[in-house]
Amino acid sequence: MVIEQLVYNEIYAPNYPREDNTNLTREESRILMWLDGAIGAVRREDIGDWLRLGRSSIEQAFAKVRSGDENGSTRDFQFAVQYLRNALARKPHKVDFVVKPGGAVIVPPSQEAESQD
Amino acid sequence: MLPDPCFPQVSRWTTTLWDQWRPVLEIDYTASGDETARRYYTWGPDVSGSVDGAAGIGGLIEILEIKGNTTTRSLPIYDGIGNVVGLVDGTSGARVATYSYGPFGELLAEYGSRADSCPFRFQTKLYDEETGYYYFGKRYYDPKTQTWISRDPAREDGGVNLYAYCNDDPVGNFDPIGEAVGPAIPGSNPQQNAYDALLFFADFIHGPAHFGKSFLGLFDSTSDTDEYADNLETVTNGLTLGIPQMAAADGDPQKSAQIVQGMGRQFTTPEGWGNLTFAALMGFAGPKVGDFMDDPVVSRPDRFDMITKAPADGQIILHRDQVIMNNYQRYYNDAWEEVVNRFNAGKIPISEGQNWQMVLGQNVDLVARARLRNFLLGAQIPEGPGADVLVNRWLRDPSGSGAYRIPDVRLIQTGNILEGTIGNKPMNLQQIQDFISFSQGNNVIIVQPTVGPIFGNGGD
Repeated sequence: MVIEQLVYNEIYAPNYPREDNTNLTREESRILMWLDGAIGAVRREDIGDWLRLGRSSIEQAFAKVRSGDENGSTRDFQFAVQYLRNALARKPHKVDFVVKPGGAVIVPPSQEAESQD
Repeated sequence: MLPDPCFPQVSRWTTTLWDQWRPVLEIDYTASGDETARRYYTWGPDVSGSVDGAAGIGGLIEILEIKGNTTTRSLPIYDGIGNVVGLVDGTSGARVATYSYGPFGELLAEYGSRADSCPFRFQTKLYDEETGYYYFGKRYYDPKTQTWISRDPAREDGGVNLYAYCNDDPVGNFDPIGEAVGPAIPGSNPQQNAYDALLFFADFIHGPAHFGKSFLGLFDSTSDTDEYADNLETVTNGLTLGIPQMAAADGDPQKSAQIVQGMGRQFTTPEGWGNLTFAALMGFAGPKVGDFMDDPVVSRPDRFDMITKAPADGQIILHRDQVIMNNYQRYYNDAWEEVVNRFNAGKIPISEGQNWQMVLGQNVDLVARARLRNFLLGAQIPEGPGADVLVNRWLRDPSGSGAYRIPDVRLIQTGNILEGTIGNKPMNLQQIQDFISFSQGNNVIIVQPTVGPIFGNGGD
């Protein structure tokens, strides 16, 4: 449902069809309210991470709509959609590698085990 | 039901459900009581600017007729004073009926494949073909004698001539229900009317999202362009003095010039429609009418109050579902145009493993559904498990196999499933068969964009 709303905003914001009787503030608060509820309810950490990433992108997208950065807002809405789709995926995404703060790349143990097979 | 011995000649019956002064449903029966046809009438604001302010004159939006397995949608076209002068098919945009009248409503001609399917004619009133009378609510009007067939229920308060129709000025006056005569456009300002009419027509041409192919079909022919251009020039020249003033008052002096310029460039009309359009320019009049056209009927709260808060006797619910179906088609058209425009501008990426049909189809589905949810929310129509309207909800195999499908929209009361696609979905597609099977016999209506290009198989 929220993905529908995000794509709707990607397409129309800030020039919503008049009959829809909505505006940027209303759309943003509606989406963020839904998202905050979801973040508060999820138990799986990876899902929570995706939702928080999505939330951040949504906030940036609406900020860019307000500043007139159409390309930027489009991109952020699309990122948000992808993050939320990841959150809705039933299986956690497979981690291929992890980059440590210093830049070092490590392969998770399970991957190492697989690669040794 | 056996034939009434008092009326042995009766071969069919029609029952009518009314909402104030407007019929909203007619059901035809044979003499033995078998239903043969249903016609749903969808109404918007009439020439008064409100839903029933002029008892529906010029306010009929659509006729949906269900006869056996055939469903047809007809959209009425009006002249300047609310007479139905034609019908176009709601799907193809083809002209299917034409009516013409004398000034007092004398039916001069009617033709077209669907001319009989619209009972509304002069002043958008029910026409009784057997008697030749129009039913206005309080009285029957006889266009042959140009008088009412009974006295004015308002007695002399309505004028000394108790039988005169519109004080003998049917072009300048309205008599919505056969009782009180009023000016043609109550409280209107001709200059404002003309400006609103121009705005409406700009919307008409530039905003196919509002009206779809059916209406645009009237204007996409290259025939008769010169004749129409002459008409248009006459109208626009006549309005030129007024438009800049109105536009300046709106704080947007360039807008009207662009509108007129755009109209002059793009208006073409098939043979026979030139006069209609000319009349409509002058006649879709009144500030309220302009507001209505800018702000399509579906957003008018009074209309939804009428539909959703009326007694839930079943028929009203059916009417509500019709509005939902109409809106979903319109949202689908809107979404299709917007998504294609953005795709062509390079703003919609194609991810790995997808093709462009899939991406466009998914985006159109998502946007159309978002707007439908928005509409349902605004109209206070419940959606979700347990409700009569389901949007993008699981439809499980009742046999317990664990299989499921997710149709775009399911309308429980009318047993309709709406499935949008930018391509084609034949009825023998497994998905469609599952819809029918899992819902235990629902009708599946494939919703496709009726504007712009339609693709073959593919898409969502």
